[in-house]
Amino acid sequence: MSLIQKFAINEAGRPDGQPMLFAHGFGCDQNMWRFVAPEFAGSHRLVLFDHVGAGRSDLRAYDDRRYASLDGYASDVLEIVHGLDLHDVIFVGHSVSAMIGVLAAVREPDRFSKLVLVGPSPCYIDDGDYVGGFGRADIEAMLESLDSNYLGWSRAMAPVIAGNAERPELGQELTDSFCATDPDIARKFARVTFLSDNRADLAKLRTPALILQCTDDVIAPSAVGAYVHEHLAGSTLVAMNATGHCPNLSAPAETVAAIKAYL
Amino acid sequence: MTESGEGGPDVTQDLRVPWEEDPGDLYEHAPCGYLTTLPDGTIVKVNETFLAWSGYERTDLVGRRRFRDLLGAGDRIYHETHYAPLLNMRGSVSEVAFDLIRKDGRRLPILVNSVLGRDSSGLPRAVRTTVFNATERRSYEKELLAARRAAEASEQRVGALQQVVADLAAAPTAAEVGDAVVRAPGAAFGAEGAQVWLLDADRAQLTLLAGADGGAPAGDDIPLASSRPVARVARRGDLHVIGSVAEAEKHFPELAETMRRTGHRTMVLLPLTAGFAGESVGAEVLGVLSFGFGEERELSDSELRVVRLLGHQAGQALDRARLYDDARRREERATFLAETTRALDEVPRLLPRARRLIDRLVPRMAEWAAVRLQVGPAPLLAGEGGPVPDPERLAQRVALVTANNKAELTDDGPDRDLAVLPLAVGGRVLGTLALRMAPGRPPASAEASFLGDLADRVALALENARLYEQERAVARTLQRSLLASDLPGDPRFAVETHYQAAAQDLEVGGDWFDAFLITPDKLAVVVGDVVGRGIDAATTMGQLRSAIRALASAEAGPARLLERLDRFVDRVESARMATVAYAEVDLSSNELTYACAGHLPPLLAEPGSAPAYLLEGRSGALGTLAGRRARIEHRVPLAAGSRLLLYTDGLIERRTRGIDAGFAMLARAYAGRRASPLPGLTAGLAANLVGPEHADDVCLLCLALGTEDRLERSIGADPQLIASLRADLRGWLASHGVDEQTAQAVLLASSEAVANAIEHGYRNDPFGIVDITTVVSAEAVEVRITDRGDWQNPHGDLARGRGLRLMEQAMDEVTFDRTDGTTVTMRRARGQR
Repeated sequence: MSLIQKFAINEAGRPDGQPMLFAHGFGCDQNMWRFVAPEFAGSHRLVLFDHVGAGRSDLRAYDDRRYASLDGYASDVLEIVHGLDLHDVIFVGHSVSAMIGVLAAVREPDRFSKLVLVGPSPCYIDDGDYVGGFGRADIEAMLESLDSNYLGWSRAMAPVIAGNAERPELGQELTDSFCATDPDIARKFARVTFLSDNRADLAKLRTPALILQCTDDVIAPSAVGAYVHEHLAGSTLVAMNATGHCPNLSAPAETVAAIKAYL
Repeated sequence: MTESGEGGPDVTQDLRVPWEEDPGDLYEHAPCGYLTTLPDGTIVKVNETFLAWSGYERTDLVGRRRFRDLLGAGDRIYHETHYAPLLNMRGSVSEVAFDLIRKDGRRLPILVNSVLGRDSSGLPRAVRTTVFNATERRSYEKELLAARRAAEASEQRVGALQQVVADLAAAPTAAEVGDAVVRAPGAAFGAEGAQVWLLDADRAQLTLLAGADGGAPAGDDIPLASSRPVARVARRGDLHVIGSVAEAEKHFPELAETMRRTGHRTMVLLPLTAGFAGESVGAEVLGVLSFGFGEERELSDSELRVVRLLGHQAGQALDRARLYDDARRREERATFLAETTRALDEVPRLLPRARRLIDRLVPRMAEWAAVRLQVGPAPLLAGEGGPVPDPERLAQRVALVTANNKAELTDDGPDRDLAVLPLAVGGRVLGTLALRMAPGRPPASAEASFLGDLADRVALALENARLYEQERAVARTLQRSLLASDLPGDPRFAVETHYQAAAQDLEVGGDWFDAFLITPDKLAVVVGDVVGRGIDAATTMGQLRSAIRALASAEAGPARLLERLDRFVDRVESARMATVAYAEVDLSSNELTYACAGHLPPLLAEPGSAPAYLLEGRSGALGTLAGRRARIEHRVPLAAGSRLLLYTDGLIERRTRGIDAGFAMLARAYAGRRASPLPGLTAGLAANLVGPEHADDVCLLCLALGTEDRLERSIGADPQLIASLRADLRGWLASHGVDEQTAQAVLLASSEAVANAIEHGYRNDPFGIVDITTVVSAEAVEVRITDRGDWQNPHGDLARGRGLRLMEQAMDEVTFDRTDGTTVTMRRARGQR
């Protein structure tokens, strides 16, 4: 399969511009950036993609072992960077993709010029003095919540619902839906996302980073944003008026302004 | 079709409610909750229905709470990662399932539909949300979900089981069964750390067959009687599920420790049983499968069924592998027995046969083995391999087995698997075979019948070898006594002989040579060949040899002698067809008279001319008609220095070449050695003409005529022959005018040297020959004594022996040369010291 199909890559903007690579977070796909990315089309080369298992990515590329940790996703980011021969990349990552970007930039710092981290959290689970915002039980409850909703949404009550290669019509249906994700993969992605602990990786980052911290973000509370800021040398923290976890959707203008100001 | 035309009857009148609907009441008491929130979720309006469901007062909510605050933590994440983005992008969200946390903390399953309202400039203004009570539906869905999960898990288990069954079908050995089984718990249940233990019933222990993650404790075998849970499951044959470390602590403290180390919170130990499904009681346990879970986990009935099925399938596969293994082993044993019998047959003698057996056994079958034979003067031993058992304990057990004629396959001592088997024929114990089976093979106790078979065959083979050896020893002794007896010699002539037995260890042949003085001036030399082999041939040869000595007379001559032998053969049937070359030499006139009865012609080398075969005087073999018709003889004068060679057909006859070529080769070789000293001449010829692979006995006699400046003698390795050598030497020394003191010294030193050669060089070879050459000059006497024996530790032996000191005292010089055999050269000046 080609790189384009594998990650459902969409390119826009100035082909000769500095590349901006937009990575969506858990729960949706590259549509997350629909209000933000176009604002940079006049000045930058825009690259949007879906993580494997999300959106219109090629579900066949999903591999349990590769995606058992965020490293697998970071490898994907690097695969895209190399595949499209991107240099001086401005990586814009939302939610879990913020950390995926950090991991990728730690591995190949030469390729990245700046990181924009929207609602980053290196660890979602409370651990001693560290406040991630959740307990392990909360994560289990979230997985249950996922199950409940996918059940209603999928409409198919077959014992095996997993959209696999043997049932292409199901896969088609899934990818036609907005922000749709294979429920099986979503569950795994959720586990990897919310059970990962990449606090130790923050110190390894040498790339300048912008942290966009929303008000009242239950997923990435302000304390977490402060923690990231504290542990990322050379990072800039911008506290936004926007509330919730998705300023790219709820407050695109403020988000765009903050990014532009930083760039 | 209706009667009232296209529009149909007007029913709006009937549908009108009988009272005026109040929009406010409709909002407040609608059958669904109704919320209006700001884009950030802050509740600005809420209806009574929602308040009633949630248990909140309006003042608790409006302006104070966001909608997401009313959700559990899990739902809050879903709200933020799915609901909110979707609402923002699509403007509406429908049928999202949440649990509403009521004021009293109880949960209310709800379904939520939301619409995002935007202002005139398109910015989000408010969110309208309807909330439906979904208790019924959600519980139904949860059941469905649980059922689906169960079905999926079940399908996964069945799939894993199918896989393992397929793998097992293709696993012919226990090891492959282990590899297939050890993968199953992970695939079927997501279990970890699976191990397969194989029960070795013969040794009453469990051996680790396979481990899933190599994290197995260093593959120690577990005795079946051990208190470890694996052993207990193997003994009892029932499934053990240890649900927690605490439970393990109570029943299996060792297991609790293991669980703490491996991080397992639940352990399953499952017997692998052969037999029909369902027969859980009394089914034979062939192994144990153990696996664990990282969390405390209760296994459902259907999971337990699959676990049991797995144990059963694995047990059957192990059973199959065992049968297969048994069949293979049986075949291997049969082949081994047949091959061993054949291999033993190839070596006829006793000790080599015993050694051959050990070579067969070690290391293929046994890691250590020894044969101990109780026949003969000293016990014969052959052993190899290691570790070597304690000799004292072994000796005790060998004695016991020998006395009882009953195998001991195990021992109570530290060397448990050391077996001792009697080697008996007809109830008589010839010896014992002791062995320890090779690692990886069943112990001797499990191979009783095979080892019994082996011992029987070995005993028979060794008994045959013993009998053969006995007969051969008798025949050899007989032959040796006849051949090695005193041959004459004096300064006028010398006789050199050589007898070489066939290379393959066959029975003795009937070849012989003889030389004797009929009168002081008439020497007879004989080489003959009796038909057949073995003890009969040796006996007949002795009879013929004696007959010739008795019948030879000064007057008769060779032809008359042969006639008389023909008559003798009439009475001794076994001598019929024997061939003889017989010659008489008149030492006073140097005249040779010879006759050949069916024998190969003698070869004569006279000084200054090429060797020539003596082709006259020929007649048929003894007792034949052709022979009897006319026994003739021929007479030739001999020049001084002539050498006459008599020989048997083994010297020149080869299957691969014609007899003429053999004659030519012999003549050439003989001519080439014309100047060689007599001692060693016949042996050299034999070595030259007969390769190491000769199939027949070879017998040669060479008679050298003429005065000798030196005395050359060869004697057999028999101490009794030393006396006659001394007599010979004494006469010769005297005839050369050597003074008495010198002569005594030379005699003493020579006797010692010859005795040493026989005693040490030829201690294992009764057919060895010692050559003695003595030269007398005006000044000194020089003696050279050569043997080709195998001195095990020449220096040590010599130094110890008093012989060397005596020799050094008697002679002026004693030197040793070991380049070709051992040659002692001694010299003593003539005259008084």
